[in-house]
Amino acid sequence: MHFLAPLLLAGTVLATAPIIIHLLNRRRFTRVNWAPMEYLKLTLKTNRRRLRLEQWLLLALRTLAVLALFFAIARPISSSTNLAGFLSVEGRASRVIVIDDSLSMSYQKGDQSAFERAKNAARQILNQLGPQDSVSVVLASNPSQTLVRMAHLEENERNKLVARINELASCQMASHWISTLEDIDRQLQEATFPVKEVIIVTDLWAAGWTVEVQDLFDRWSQEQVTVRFIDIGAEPAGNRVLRSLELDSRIALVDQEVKMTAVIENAGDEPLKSGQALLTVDGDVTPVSLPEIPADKTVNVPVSVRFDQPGQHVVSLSIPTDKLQDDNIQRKVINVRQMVDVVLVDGEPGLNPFDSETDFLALALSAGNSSWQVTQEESSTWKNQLLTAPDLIILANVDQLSKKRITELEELVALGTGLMIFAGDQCDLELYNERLFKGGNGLLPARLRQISDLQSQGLVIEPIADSPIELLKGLTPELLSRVRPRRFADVIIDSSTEPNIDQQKVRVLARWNDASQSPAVLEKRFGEGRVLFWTITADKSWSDWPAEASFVLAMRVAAQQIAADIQRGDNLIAGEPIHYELETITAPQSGELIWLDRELNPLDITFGSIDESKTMLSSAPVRFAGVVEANWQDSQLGDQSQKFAINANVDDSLQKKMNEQALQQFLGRMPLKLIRYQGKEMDLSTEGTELWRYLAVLLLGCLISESMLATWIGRRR
Amino acid sequence: MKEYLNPEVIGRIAGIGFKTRQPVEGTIAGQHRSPLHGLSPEFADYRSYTPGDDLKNLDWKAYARSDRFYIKRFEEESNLRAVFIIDSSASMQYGAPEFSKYDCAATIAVSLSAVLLKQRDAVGLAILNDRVQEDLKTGGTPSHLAKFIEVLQRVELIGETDIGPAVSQVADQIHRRGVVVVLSDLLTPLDPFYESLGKLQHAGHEVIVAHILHRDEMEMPFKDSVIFKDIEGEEEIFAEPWAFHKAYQAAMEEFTQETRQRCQYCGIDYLQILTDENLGAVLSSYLHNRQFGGAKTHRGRMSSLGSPSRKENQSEKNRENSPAPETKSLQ
Repeated sequence: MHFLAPLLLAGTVLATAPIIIHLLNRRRFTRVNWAPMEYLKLTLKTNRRRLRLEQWLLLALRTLAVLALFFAIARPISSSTNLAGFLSVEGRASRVIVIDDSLSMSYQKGDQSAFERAKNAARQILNQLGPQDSVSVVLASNPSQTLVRMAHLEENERNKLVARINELASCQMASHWISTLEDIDRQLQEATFPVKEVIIVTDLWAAGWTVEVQDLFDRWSQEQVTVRFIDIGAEPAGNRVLRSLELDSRIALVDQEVKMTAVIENAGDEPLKSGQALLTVDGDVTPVSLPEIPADKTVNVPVSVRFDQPGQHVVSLSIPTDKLQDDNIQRKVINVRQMVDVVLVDGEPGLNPFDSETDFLALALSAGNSSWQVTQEESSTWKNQLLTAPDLIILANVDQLSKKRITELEELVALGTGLMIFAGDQCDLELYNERLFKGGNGLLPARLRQISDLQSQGLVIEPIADSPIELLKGLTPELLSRVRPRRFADVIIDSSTEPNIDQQKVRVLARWNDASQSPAVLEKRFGEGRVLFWTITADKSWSDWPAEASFVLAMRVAAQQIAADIQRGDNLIAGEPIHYELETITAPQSGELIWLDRELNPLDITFGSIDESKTMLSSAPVRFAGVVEANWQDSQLGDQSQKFAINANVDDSLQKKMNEQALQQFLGRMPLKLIRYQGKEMDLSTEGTELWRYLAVLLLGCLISESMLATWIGRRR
Repeated sequence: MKEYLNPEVIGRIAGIGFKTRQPVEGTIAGQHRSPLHGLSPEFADYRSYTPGDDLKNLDWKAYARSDRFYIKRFEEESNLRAVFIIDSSASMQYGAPEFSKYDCAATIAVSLSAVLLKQRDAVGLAILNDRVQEDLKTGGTPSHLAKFIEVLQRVELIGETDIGPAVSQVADQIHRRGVVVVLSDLLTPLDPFYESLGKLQHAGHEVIVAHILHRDEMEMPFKDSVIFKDIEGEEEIFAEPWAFHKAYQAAMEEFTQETRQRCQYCGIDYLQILTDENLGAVLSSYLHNRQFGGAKTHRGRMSSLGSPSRKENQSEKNRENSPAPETKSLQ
């Protein structure tokens, strides 16, 4: 309940007047010497209850009449479903209406989504506001692009704005209220009126609310900014989320089975039985049987596809629909390759077969494997030529690398190119440590101490999750025990002596079976790529392992796992901008981004150069999920296109709705002003219900009743 | 000194006079019927002749018709001995200093006494509260009225009203049949009072009850809050009379009605007088009714509320389905 003239409520203290008068009357009396005391007492005795009841009733009526009078002139307005009362302020106000359009707003209740209700609420709010107030209307996902900015809306302008609101669609981004509110804070700086209000129309799902907003709300509270929440959300009642669809192997090759894993979460109370998902590959739909997913459980569902053509392919998987449909589908753009490009850099070339450092490697990777294109380069030649972008680079007993080449290597690996380094007698340990290890910041996983002799009883594979050589654990111990190098490159991996080593990124994948458990294979994650350092040579100079069958398996497995998974930014999450590097130096003039699976307006894209060597295709953050295709004209290559898959940000699917207490925690000192709508129908009153008429009727009733009762008491009795 | 001799009142009732409804035993010849047979011209009855009777009273005509000797008897007329019993309890001072209930009672007593003395009747006075405070023997001389007034004037109104035993005491002292006029507000324990009235009736007295009340006591017209202090005690009660004055009026009305009905049932004249009424008019009306009205119906003797006669009274009331026996109105 609100009051338009709350100061007049002070008059309610006069409600005590009848009581005070009653008490004063009891003090103002006459004294009479009375003879018929017996009959007086008899009368009082027989009428005591009636007298007391009548007195209390009369007193209550008089008190109620005074209360009703002052409540009525204070003009109370009911606030349960009364928008007018909820929005009422004294004086002119600058308002910012924020419409939550995050993923969760697609949650259906009945035949209406939360976003439809939010639009309805926004329309009602706009209808309540007069042209004397200035108003901005923004979407929470895109607060900088206002629908209208601090405008005084006349009726026709308001109608146009309402029409624009009617055409809005909810996006698939996750809420991120701190960034939204910071943007609104900047808009409030432009507000002209001292009364400032932010009206947030939201479903109050917990996702996106972080403690950072509390400082902002505290500051707003000090600056007398009012924040009103209009809760149009429904309590979440179960939801199924397709959290991700990821490739199991880093490389998708033509005519090879590409395995993917779909992560499905059943956040509902009912298990999902005999469900069926739909796998769409370039428009062809294939049903996929889902296992039973118990309630409140997450399962991984394997999915495999095969492509017969190289290039970009769009794969999407959709699980059975529910009340929140936008998180039931995942899209993936897969770059299918004809073959894997591997460059072997030989640090010690030889004249005869298997004299070279990389001969065993080339045999292991290429024999019977037509999809792998292996190129052997002498290190002296490779160091001086222009660096291409192969999928995997293997440095075998390379003495040293120039700083420029190492920088180029770092850039490639950071983008996803795989790198394997084999030790050898040629290696200049000091330069390796200086340029490749860089005190823990370079490509080399660990500092090289020295080349040492080794008395090992074999190779031990560490039980590490997601290890590139995890498959070697399937080999028999006898096979691994036959790997007995005579020498190895001893490394320093102790964090006490090398504090800069990031333990999260550097792992020992295998160790030699010697007394000190010396590292045999080390991995370092560098950007999007991985670096494997083998502490032995790739030829037979330090061990006989390259001649073993297990060496072939180990090299193939390792190469397969770390070969390039160059992320070029063609799979995005809603809310991220497109930032794609083109394979051309000259920036195109123009292009457009069109939706392939949605009827939405094309998006603008821009082209720009970085360091005069890279040309980037960029766009504003894409707020909707779907598949878009960028088309542009390249001066050298002609018409070009690139598909992008944008997936819903399922972080917003968090099935938790905040209550007043939870919301108040984020508001800090800001008082909570919330209007909550429940039920099937969303009916916001536009007229508002002022209660003074009811109170006037009550007042009149009290006065009439009081008069009648007083007359009845005084005359009839 | 209050002056209770009001010529205006006396002037209005002097012409009407006071006549008893039943025989009285006076000491000298007067205007009132006597239970004795005497020498008045009024024929009373016959009785059989017995030897030694005076032959002048023999009715020869009756002898001629019936061949039997009858002696004619004539009524005797005597003067009246009236005793005024006045309540002098503290409650009778309500209305003072202008005109209290006691003043009203005294004025009535003096006025009636003046009329009676003029008829050569004798009047006596007993002033009492819970005991006999003053007792003036009956006298018939004109100067007796001065004594009468003097006694009334020197009375101090104190004590509680419990006149029943005192009236009984006075009744024991009146040996000849006469008229007893009780003037009181009757705010007294009623059982002993009714008992004393019954005793007076039993002694053959004609009893008149003058119920003196102030109009405030009947109507309770107060507008503000009032602390009612018991005029005969220390008790105090706070009340807002406007809230219950109707109920109080009903209670008082019930009280006076019940008293009236009991008196009328027993043949006692009940006269309710409010102090602000015109006493001359009230008394003249009453005396006129006595003078020319018929004899009162006497259905029983006054007794206490719990006595059989009370039950008889109640059962008869129920039988007749009326609040009171049919009597002639005195007012």
